[in-house]
Amino acid sequence: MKKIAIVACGFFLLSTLTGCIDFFEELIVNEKGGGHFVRKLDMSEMMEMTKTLSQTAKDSSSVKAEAEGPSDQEQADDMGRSMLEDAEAIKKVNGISNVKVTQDTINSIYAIEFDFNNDVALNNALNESGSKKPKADNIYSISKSWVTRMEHNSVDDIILPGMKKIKMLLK
Amino acid sequence: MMQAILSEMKYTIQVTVPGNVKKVSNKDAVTSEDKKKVTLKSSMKDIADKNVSTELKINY
Repeated sequence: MKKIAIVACGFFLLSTLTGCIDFFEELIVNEKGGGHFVRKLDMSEMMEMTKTLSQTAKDSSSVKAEAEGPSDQEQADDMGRSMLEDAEAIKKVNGISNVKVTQDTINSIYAIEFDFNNDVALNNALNESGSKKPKADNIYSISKSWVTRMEHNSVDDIILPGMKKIKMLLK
Repeated sequence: MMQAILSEMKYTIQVTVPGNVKKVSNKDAVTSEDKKKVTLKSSMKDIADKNVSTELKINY
């Protein structure tokens, strides 16, 4: 009976905690056609709920084995490594500067941001991060009076690094 | 399970331009009061299912 209650509790938490994952992409364009780009993954609320679920499972010796797996720190480290690899590649792109990675492993907030000289540099940088799919995709186009964000690739580029962590959490 | 997770993940795109926004192509996008910022909020599932377009054409 206790096990059933814990499993039910787990399903309830999973159904609610997923609403707390935020992917955020920000583009700030200046008058010269350059600007600043930010990509952020915020799982702070989800991690808080995961800790609660983890604690509930640990409180029951009957499901102790199921609760074992990668620790929160290991999962955070994995995400951090992935973002650092992206940052190193982006630093080498012409027209990119001030690359900054934020890894708040306690609150599970990860971000990468950088300055770009023009849309060519921005697209090259974005193609260096995320899913490592074949290049030559233009995501943004910036001209004197227009900014265009293309339809394609948003899910792949944003979600894959995040999903890797989320899948680990669901194990 | 993954479909359920995708449907609940929020995805926000925010673009700030140096001039006043005159026109935005995406009907789901919201322009800020100062006309400098365009925000598009959606879920990952809607994007994956093509129910929401992430294409933005901003004229300023």
